[in-house]
Amino acid sequence: MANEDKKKRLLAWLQTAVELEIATIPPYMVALLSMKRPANREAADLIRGVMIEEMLHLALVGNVFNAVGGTVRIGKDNIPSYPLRMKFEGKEFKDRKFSVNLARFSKENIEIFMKIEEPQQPPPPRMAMAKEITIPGLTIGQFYNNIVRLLEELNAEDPEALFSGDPSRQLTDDYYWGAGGKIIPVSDLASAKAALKIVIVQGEGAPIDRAAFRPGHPLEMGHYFRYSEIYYERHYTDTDDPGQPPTGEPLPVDYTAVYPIKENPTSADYAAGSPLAELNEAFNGHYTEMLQQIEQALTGTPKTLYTAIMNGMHSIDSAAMKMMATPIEGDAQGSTGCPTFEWAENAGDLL
Amino acid sequence: MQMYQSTVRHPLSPEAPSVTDPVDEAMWNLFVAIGPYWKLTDDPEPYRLRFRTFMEDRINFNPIYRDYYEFAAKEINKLIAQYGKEKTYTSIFSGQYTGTPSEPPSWLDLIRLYVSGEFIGMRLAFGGFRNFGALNYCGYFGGANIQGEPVPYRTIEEAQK
Amino acid sequence: MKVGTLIVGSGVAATAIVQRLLEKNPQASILLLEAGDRIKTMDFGVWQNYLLTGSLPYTPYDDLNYPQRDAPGENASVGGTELPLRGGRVFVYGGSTMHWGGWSFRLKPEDFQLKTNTGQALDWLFGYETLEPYYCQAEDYLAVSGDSADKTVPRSRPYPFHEFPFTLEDKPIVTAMEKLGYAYGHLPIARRGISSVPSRHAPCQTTGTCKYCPFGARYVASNYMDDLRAWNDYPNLDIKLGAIVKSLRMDGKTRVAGLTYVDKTTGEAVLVDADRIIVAAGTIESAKLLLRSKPDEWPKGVGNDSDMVGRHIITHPYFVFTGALPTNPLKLQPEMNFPTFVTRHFDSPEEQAKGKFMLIAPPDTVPIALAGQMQGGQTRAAIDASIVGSNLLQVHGMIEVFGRFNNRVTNLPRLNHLGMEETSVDYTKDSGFDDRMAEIQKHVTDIYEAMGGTLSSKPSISWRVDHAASTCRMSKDETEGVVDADLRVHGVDNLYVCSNAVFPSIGSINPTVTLTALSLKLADHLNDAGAQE
Repeated sequence: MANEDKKKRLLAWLQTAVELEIATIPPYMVALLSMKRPANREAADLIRGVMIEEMLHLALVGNVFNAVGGTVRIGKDNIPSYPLRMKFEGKEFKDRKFSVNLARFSKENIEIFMKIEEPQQPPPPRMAMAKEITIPGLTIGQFYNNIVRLLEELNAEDPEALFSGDPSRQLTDDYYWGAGGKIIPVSDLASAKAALKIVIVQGEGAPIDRAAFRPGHPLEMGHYFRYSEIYYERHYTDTDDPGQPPTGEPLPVDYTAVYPIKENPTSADYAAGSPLAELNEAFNGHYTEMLQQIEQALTGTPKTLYTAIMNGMHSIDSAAMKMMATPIEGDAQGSTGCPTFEWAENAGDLL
Repeated sequence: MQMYQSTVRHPLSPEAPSVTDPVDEAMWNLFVAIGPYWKLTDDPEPYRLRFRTFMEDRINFNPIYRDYYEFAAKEINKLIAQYGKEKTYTSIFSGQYTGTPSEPPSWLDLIRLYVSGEFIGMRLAFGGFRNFGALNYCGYFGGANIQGEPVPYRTIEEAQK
Repeated sequence: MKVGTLIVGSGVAATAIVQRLLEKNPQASILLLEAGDRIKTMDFGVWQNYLLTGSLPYTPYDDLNYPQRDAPGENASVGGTELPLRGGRVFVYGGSTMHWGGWSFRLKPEDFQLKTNTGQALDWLFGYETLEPYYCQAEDYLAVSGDSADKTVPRSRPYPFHEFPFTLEDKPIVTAMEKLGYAYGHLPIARRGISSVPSRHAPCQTTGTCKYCPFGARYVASNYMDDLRAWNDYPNLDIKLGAIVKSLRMDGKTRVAGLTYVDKTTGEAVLVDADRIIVAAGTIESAKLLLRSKPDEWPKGVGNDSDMVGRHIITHPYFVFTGALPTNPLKLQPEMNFPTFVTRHFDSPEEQAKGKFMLIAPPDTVPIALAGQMQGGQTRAAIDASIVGSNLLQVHGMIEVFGRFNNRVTNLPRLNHLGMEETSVDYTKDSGFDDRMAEIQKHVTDIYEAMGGTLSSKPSISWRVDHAASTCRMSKDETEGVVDADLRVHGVDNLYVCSNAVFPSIGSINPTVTLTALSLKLADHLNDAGAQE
């Protein structure tokens, strides 16, 4: 394949990676906000850490994308809708043949989160590029490993042409705190691989090994293991086998201490003019604005990210919590609201 | 017990505190015009999204800001139709609020107090301050103080250069 | 209602104690009573409003001014020198950390022996070396950025975050220090940095709106208390806001049984029993609570048989020198909101008897205000000319003064605008104070000359109570002070005071790191004594 085509492919894959990382955030956020405190403190802390690290992954993928001169797109056509089935080049990921939902904190939902973050088993084979990609059903790990392989190939041919992006677009350490890992600015193959390694080891597609298995250090433990602790309601111990359920101290979980939110809602679920419709509209407005700001932050104006974090995140948390505490009028099950994470057209027109 | 704090919102503020597109455009143009008037060289385009958030937050904080923005847009558009853009913006930027508490402010005073004056503050904080020689400014997100990375403000080493 | 540990106040002392007690025993029964309300922190809209208008959400919880002609005000200043209360403290959840500057100094070893060295006030009941490990923990807790190589005070381990480099605005004063041969250093500041340890509290982004940090990078006790509650299982920790404590109740002379507070929302008096009480309500309110609690066993107030409570109040006179800088070719202007330069050259054993002082280069050393100039209609050419032309040049500082028996705070029998007992402040500065200031002015005049500026006028001096201390000072017995080395009120087995009130002296530096160290030390003492139920 010509270099030009390889580069095109690389950019397309990185865009998919951006969308993959964005897609995990709303389900984690909804599960987290649906929890009524003070129950489930540890579980909430674990989910919170994973959610923030997914934002880190987005930043890291964005850095790789920018380093190779690409342009991240986060718009109406690149954001997930739920229930979500993640596809890549028209085919579902082999390890994502299930729906990801906007749903309350529940055992079923944690099981899905475990599947999202499930490690590779066995480790991914080294792959040739073009022909492999046509094979249906890549795993997420294979997908990321393919990106790394493609970077290696292009780098071997012409590193300067590959890492031609504007360095001022890189996000730095300043923009991340509050969970494990760190933002690595990307300028060459080594930093690109280091950035993607964090994504892989912390989350999707890590091989089962002890690198991501740090009992007692939740922020250094792979996402799968954190969810596994919630699922089995136990902590891992140092002597546990990472391939087996945890056997340590109990981790108390109470699936009844949650808001009975509506699963995978759309704006049509809220009667026009009702308080929930108004709240949802506000939520979607803030959500869309925040996505636009994240896109801007990843395409040359990093400082906009502060506004996305400090204003956007707080606004959507605030609106989402109000919705979850508000019953849906006339709902037979007594469900409460849940934000729909839909693109707000008005905000989109602005640009 | 709260996991997150809810945001501060004026009870009379709408859930979605936005302005109409024409008002948004008139306010954006006023904000942009700060640049040429004070010969600022920073490109305002990257501030566009944050400026919008800023206006929403002002309305959220106090819903009367929606009226201020609508009123300012109406008055400014009238003036522009009559005198053109440059004269209009100059008349706003070149003066200052002179009213006394005992009498209601003039329309120009109102715009300077709550609209253009605040826009000036935000323009500086977004990055306009750099034109005056500094590297950091109160309200600007300068970045963290990380060992081995560039300091986000001018340090004493600068004097050596 | 019955609790294990009852804490009056919710500032840094209360919050640090609570955290440490719960680390030892997550089941510990603890109730905090806070007279004030919750101020929402880290809100973008509130932050923006502060940035644009300078108005802060917590100023309604300041004291009002003293009564003046035509203005009713509140409290009373009855001495020869007015100590303003307004702006010196905040009655909110989180206490005065809501507005503090975060300057995070340690006292120097000689400060612990003031009486021995100078005959003034009292010595502390332990030395610097006893507090040193707690100073380290306090700096970690408050997330201080400082210069670990600074030898001004001995330290056994590094600051958690490295120092903020000197700003360009520090150039004139650093030049002066070099010329004059004075020692100087980086001002240690409680602004969280970035390290390999993840934190739910965000790092400082050098945004310069520190009185209301949008990130929560400057320590505010309520943020930490909220975090403590949200992310831990502490089933027996509770906080009651709007609880105005009226008086302590005794169980015999030597045991406090509990207290009575008024619930601001209902207006009702509520009785709480406790195994022990820690009064952590600041220098003034802590003393006033002891004074107005007058059970039969303590007719002059709890712990006040020797008339020591509320006396010896001190604060830091904060002085502002303003001189002239003839030209400003480097375009010096405020880029920060906190100082990075300090000299403790005069914070030395040699100066101790006369009153130590420290000097800082304020963040507005050259106080240019761009927004104000533009909003005032000035042209670009006029602004440019004003920046490089002659400008004001500021140097700030603080001086140590000594406790005097006659200087005191007491309760006034009426309520302030927040429903709390008003305060009478009786303070008169020492007769030698003005001479000492004149001496300082001579030193500062030399510094101005070495900076290439000129100083021709006296400083403005604020006696505001920000750093007020010593009203319940620690002493070997009740004839000289109010609490013992463990901060326990003399004569009462289970009553403690934890505030700047217990400092026998405050040196010339900000007291918060020392108070935090004392709080952690008290918590360790209580933990060692075993959990009381």
